[in-house]
Amino acid sequence: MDIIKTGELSFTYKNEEENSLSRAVDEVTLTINKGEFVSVLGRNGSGKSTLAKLFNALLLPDEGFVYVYSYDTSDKTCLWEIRKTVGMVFQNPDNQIIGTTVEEDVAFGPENMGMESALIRQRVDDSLRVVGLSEHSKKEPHMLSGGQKQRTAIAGILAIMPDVIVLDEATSMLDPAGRKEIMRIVKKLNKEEGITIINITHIMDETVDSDRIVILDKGRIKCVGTPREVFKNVEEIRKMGLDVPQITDLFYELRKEGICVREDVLTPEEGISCIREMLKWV
Amino acid sequence: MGIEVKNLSYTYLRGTPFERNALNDVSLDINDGEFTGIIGHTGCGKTTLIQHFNALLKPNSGSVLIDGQDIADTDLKKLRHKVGLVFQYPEHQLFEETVLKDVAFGIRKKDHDPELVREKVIDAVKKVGLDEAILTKSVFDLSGGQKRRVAIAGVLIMEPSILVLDEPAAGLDPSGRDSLYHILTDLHEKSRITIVFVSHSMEDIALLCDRVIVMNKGGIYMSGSVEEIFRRSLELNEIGLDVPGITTFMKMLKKEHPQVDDDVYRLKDAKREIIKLFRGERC
Repeated sequence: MDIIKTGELSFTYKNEEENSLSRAVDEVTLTINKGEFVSVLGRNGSGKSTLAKLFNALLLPDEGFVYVYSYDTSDKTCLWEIRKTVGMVFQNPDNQIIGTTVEEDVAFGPENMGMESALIRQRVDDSLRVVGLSEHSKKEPHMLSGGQKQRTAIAGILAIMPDVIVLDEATSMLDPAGRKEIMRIVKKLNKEEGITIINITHIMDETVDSDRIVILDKGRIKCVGTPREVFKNVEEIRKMGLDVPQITDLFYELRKEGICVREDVLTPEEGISCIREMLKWV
Repeated sequence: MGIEVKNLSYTYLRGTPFERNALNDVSLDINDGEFTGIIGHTGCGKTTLIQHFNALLKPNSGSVLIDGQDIADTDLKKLRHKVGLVFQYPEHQLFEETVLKDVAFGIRKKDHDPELVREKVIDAVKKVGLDEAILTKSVFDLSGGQKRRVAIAGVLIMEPSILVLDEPAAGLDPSGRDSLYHILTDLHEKSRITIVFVSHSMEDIALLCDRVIVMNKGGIYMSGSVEEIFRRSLELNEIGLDVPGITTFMKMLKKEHPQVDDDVYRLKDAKREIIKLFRGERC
């Protein structure tokens, strides 16, 4: 079942002063299925963030359409339903956190939806538990680490119980430990709660477990496929200004030396078993 | 010469109920011409430390010497020309109407001759791999990677002999990251600039640096060559850091093939070892 569907979707930023136009998203036709984990890759300026904002009506299509379930994002009367369905986590948690304490911040969404206070309490507690911040609920957000702040932002999204969470380079400002904790939580939400995840990232290692990878280049979809399908075209990927996971790169380099290892190795474990298999035969 | 830090301590909001100790008796030396990496958890004091290198912060106790001169009694202007500091997301500090004006900002009062200034700006933007044609553009019309490079050019124009960069690749796409690293390697090799590089990527640290300083809880946890540091993986794990992914892979491989050398921190060395493994078994 599809949860987000775009057709011939285009969006152009207009600079009124200079009368210039730049087409950020160009005829994108894409379907995201319910429960999927999709990674979106593309160089800076390829239209990834613009596309993400079109998914929950922060931007509206110039041409084409975006449907979230059966709601057309161009239809203003659907705005609340769309925003409740598709939650966004941005790069810098400081731009997204507004409450004076962690729990107040998480309660912001449900409060705005006019929920009863007992229910809000419930939602806030549940959301904080999922991201592992229960004992920090009374803290001021600025006292938290980067990873904790980003988890607060995710809890704030969870509190409105969305079906889709879009992460727009949400780990790029975090240290390795913070990055790992966010990815662990996001994967758990996907597997255990069935939440559809769209992860926009420059970090290739975050994408190897995803169901599909979508690569954008100059606003257009350049390729869609499983990580295995996408990353085996190392040269193609590099031409698009991107990279492959380091292990994939290592095996690509070995092939160049005439060692016929598999071309679709994604993880260290796969690499080890590939080498084991090959050494059996020599 | 270079940078000498002796028993440096620093506390934020000292004397208030909110005081927070950020650096604790830190001593270290960074020699001229070195490419030094600094790693550590968020909040370990990396940024506080490097802000002392050009006296944005001054020690509560201890001292920081740049080329033998204590920052406490150096002319600040001269010091800040000598030590160029590139903050995280430096493009947020771009503000002038054109690239030319923005890059020239640091020297506009020192050099009055507009032709000379222009020449220096051209030189600086070329160093970061940009074309002269960019000078007339508005800084706000550039791509993320270009903005980052313009911001770095604005520091390079002051001809620093020490360049300090706080996570310069954060948020850049892989090709933007690679070209930035080429620029840094070039500056280091051709212009002999001392580089201090703060990063969260162990792979990038292993690729670029001669020496690594590991910080934890406001102190120096260890320092040494890339090999010396990443060999101590257990101690790194204890403070939430890791070795490069390729090293983890080689350690896994060694378990099955004890003849493999797992003292490997860069992709090209891993490749050499695995080729040896295949060729060796074949003979």
